[in-house]
Amino acid sequence: MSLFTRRMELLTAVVLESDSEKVIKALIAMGAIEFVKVTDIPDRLTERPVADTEDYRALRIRIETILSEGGIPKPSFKNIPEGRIGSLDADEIEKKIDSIYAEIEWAREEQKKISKKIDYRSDVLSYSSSGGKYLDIRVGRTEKTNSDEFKSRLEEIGGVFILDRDPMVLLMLKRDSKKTNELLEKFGWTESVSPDEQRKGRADAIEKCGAELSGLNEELGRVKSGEKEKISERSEELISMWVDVRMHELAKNVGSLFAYTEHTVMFSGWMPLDVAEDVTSTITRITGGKCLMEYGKEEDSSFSAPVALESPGILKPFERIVSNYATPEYGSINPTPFTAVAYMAMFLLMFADVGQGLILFLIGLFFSLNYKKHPLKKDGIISRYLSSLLMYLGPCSIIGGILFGSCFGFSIPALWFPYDRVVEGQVTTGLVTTIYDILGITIKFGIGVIYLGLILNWINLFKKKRYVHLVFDKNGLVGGALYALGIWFAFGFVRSGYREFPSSPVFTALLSFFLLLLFLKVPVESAEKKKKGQAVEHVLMNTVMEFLVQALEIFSGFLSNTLSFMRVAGLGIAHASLMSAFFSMAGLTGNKVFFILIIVLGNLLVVALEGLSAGIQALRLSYYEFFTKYFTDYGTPYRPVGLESDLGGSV
Amino acid sequence: MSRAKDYGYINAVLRPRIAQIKSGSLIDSLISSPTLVEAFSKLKDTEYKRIEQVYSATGDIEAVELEFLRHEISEYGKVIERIPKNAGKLIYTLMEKYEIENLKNAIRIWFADRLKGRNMGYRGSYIIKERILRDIDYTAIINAEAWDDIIALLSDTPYADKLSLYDENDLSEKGLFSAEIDLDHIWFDDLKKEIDKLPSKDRKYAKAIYDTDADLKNILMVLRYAVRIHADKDTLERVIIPLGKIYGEIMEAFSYDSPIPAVFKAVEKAYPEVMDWVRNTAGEDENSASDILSVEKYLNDIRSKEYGKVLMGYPFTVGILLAYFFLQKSESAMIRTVLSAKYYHWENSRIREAIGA
Repeated sequence: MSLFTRRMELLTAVVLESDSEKVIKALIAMGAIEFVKVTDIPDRLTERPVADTEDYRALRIRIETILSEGGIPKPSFKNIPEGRIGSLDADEIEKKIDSIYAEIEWAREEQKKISKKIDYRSDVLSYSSSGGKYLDIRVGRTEKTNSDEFKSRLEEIGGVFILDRDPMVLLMLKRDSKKTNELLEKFGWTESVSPDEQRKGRADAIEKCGAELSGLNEELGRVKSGEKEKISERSEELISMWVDVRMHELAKNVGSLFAYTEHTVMFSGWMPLDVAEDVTSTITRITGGKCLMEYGKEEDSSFSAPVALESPGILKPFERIVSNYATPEYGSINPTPFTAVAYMAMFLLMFADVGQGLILFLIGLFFSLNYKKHPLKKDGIISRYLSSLLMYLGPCSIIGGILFGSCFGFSIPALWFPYDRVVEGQVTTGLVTTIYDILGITIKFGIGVIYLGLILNWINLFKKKRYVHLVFDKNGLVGGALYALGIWFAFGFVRSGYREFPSSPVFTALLSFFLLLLFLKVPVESAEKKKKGQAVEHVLMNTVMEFLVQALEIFSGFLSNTLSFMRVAGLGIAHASLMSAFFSMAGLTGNKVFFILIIVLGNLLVVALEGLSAGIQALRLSYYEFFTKYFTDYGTPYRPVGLESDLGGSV
Repeated sequence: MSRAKDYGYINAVLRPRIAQIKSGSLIDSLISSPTLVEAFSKLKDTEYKRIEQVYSATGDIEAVELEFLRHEISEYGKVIERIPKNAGKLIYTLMEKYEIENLKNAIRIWFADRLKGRNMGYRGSYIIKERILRDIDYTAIINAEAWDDIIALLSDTPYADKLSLYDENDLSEKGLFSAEIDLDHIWFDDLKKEIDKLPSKDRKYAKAIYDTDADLKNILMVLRYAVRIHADKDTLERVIIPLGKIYGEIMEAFSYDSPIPAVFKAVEKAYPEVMDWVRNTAGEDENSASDILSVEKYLNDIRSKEYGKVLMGYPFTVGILLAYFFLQKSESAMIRTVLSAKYYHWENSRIREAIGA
C-alpha cells in the first residue's frame, strides 16, 4: 500500500477505426481508464455527437428486472476476461427477454387461477369455523349418476364436491342456493335423511376443502418457485446478455469523448501507473501494433489527474469516511490510515466497555453475514456499511474496556486506570485521579490529532512545492508554530493553578517573530505574483486585513479545535455516569430479578444511545478538527469506465 | 405559531411526497414498461411496494385493486395521528366515503346473487372485510338471506335508517340506484357538518375545494340526467349533491316548470368558463358518451387547478391534507389504469390518452 494517492498517467492513443470498438470494449472490461474529452480538435478531427444509448439502457433494465425476479444479484466484475466480451445482437436478446417475460406472465395467470380457487376455499373454511351458517351442504343421491353434465353444472356454480361415492356430498354457499336447488331438481336429487350420513358428509366435505386448500397453496408455491428456478437456470445466459448490453451501452457513451478522422479514432484517459503496462499491451495486441500511444503526467496536462486512493481492504470503511468529506488532492498523502487510527482511538476513549463492545461487534457480524446471505436485501437502519464499521468499533470498545476496567458497567481490573472510579472520585493515587486528568488526556490527544493533520498538510505542500503556502498559510508552519506557542502558554496557565499567565523572553521573541512572518504573508505572495507577471493591487491594505483575519483565525480556530476534544472526555464521563446511574437504580430495587432487568436494559440503552453518540462525535471531530487541517485543496475522484460505473444510470 | 405547530410536521412529511407525485416520473416509468410484470416491478421501491408483492404472490389484478384501496385508506390513517382534532374529524369523514363505497359494493354483490340470480359471490373476495370506520360485517351482508338481515347488520350505523326506507320488492323492481344515492348523501351531509365546524381558515380552504367539487359534479348530473335522459324532477332532486355554491340556485330552478335554463344561468354566473362546454355538450347527441368524458376531464382540470391554488397558498391549513389526498388518489387511479392497460396490451399512446398524460 502506498501512503500517497495512486500515481496516474494520461494516455492518448490513436487506433484504426476498424479496431476502435474492440479496443474500447477491452478497456471497459479492464475498468482502468477514466476517459476525458479530447478538446484539442484540429480541423481534420471531428467529434461524434453524444450517442443515444436509451435503447441499450432500456434493454439492460429489462434484464436487471428479470435478475431481480429470480433473486439473482447484479453481476459484479472487477476484470472481465477478453474472451467473454461478445458482439451484440440486440434483437436476439430482445426476443429472449420477451420470451422470459412471457413465461413469467404465464406463471402469473396460473397463479391467478389458483388464487381464485384458494380464495373460495378459504371463505368456505372460515364460514365453517363460524358455525357454517353461510354454507349449503347437501348429502344425497341423484337419479342420473356418472353424469358429466351434472359435474360441469356444479362447477359452474362453484363448490367442493365428493361425487365418487354414495351418498354424494356437495358443499356450496348458501347465497347460491337458488341455482343449486334448480340444478338438483333437474337431476332428481334426493337428500339423505340419515343424520349419520349428513354428519359424516359434512365432515368429509370440510376435510376435502381443507385438503384442496393445502394442495392449492402448495401448487401456488410451486408455480412461484418454478418461475424463480427457470430464471436461475438461465442465470449464466442472462448475465452474459447483461454484460454484452452494458458493454455496448458504455462503449457508446464514451464514444462521444473521442475524436475521429475518416479511418482513425483518438481517445484519451487517465489510468493508474501500475496498470499502464496491461493497458498498453491490451491495445497493442488488439490492434496488432497499429496504434500510437503517448503518455503524459499530471503536471504536463491541462487536465488535473483524478485521484485514486489505494487503501488495503481492511481500511475500506474508513476510506468512505474520507471520501464522504472530500477527495484529497492528487499526489497528496492518503489520509485513510490516519483517519482509521484517530477515529478508532476517539471511539475507544468515548465508549470503553468490554461487554458493550462485544455486543457492537456481534451486531456488526450478524448483519454483515445476513447481507452476504441475502445480497439483494436493501440496506436497513443497520446498513452494510455500518455493520462493517461496527466490526471495527466493537473491538476498539473492548480494548477500551480492558484499559479502563469496565464490562457491562461492572468494574474489572484496569490496565491503565479505572475510568468509572475516577469519575466517581474514588481514586486518590496514580497519574489519573480526577476528571481534570481525564480532560487533560483528551486535550493532549486532540493536540496530537490536530498536529497530525498539520504535518500531513505540510508534507503535501512540500511535495507540491507550494512553499509560500507551506510557510505562511494558517495551517502552514507559521500557524503550527503559533499553535505550539499557544499550547505552551495555556499549559503554563493551567500549571499555575489558573492564577497567572506564564512569561518568558523567548516566548515573546518567538511570538513576535512568527507574527511578523504572518504579517509578511501578503507582501511575499504579492512578490511571487509579480514575478509571474500577475497584477497586484492594494498590497498595504491587504497585508493589514489579511494579517488581522489570519491572526484571529489562528488563535480562535486552534483554540476551539483543541477544546472540541473535551467532548471525548465528556462522552466518556457520561458513559461511565450513565452506567453508574443504572447501577444505583438497580440497587434501590432490593430484588435480584429487577436488578438484573435494569442492568440488562441499561446496557442496551447505553449501547444504542452512547454508541451512536460516540460514533457521531468521532466523525465530527475527524471532519472538523482533523480534515480542516489536512485538506487545503481538493481533487476529483477517479472514476474509470467499467461495467459497474454509474454511466447511463442503473436500476 | 400554533398553526405552524399543528401543521408544520405534516407539511414537512407531505410536501416531498406531493412533489414526487406531481413529477409524474412513476407514471412515465410504468407506461414505458414493455410488459405488465415489468410495470409492477417499478413499484417495488415506492409507496406501492405492497401492491407489487400482492401481484407477485397471486397474479390477480383484482386482488391488486383491493390492495390499492387499502393503501388509499391507510394514507388517511397515517395522517390522522399527526394533525389537530378538528381536522382529524374531517379526515375521518373523508374515510367514511370509502366505507360507504365498500358497503355499496357488498350490497351490489348480494343484490346480484340473491335478487338477480347472477353468480357474483366470488367478488366477495374483493371487498375490504376489515374495519374502516365502523364494525360492519361485510361477509354477513354478502351472504344475507334477506334485505331485512342487512338492515339489522347495519343497525349500529347511520346507514340503517336510510336503507330501511326500501324493501326487497322496491329493490328488485327499481334497482339499487336510489338507495346508493341516499348512502352518498349521508356522506355529503356529514362532510358539510364537519367543514362547518372547522376553524375559519381551514373552513375557507375546505369549502373552496368541496363547493367547487360539488358544483362541478352537479353540473355533470344535470347534463346527464336532465339534458340527456330527461329524468323527472324528483329524480333530479335526489341525485343533486347538497353542497356547493350553486346548489341553492339549482334547487330553486327545479321549482320551475323548465328548470334547465335557470340552472344554466346559475352555472354561467359562477363558472362562466364551464358554460361553453355545457352549451356545446347540451346540444349534442344524447348517446355521445365521449362528450361527457371530455367534460369530466375538463372538470378534473379545474379541480387540479383548485388544489394547485391551495398548495401555493398559506401552508398551515387543512388544505395541504386535502390537496395531498386528491393527488394521491389521482396517482393511484392513474397507476391502476396503466396496469390494467398493460394487462390488455394497450399501446403506450393509447394509455397516455386514457390518463390524459
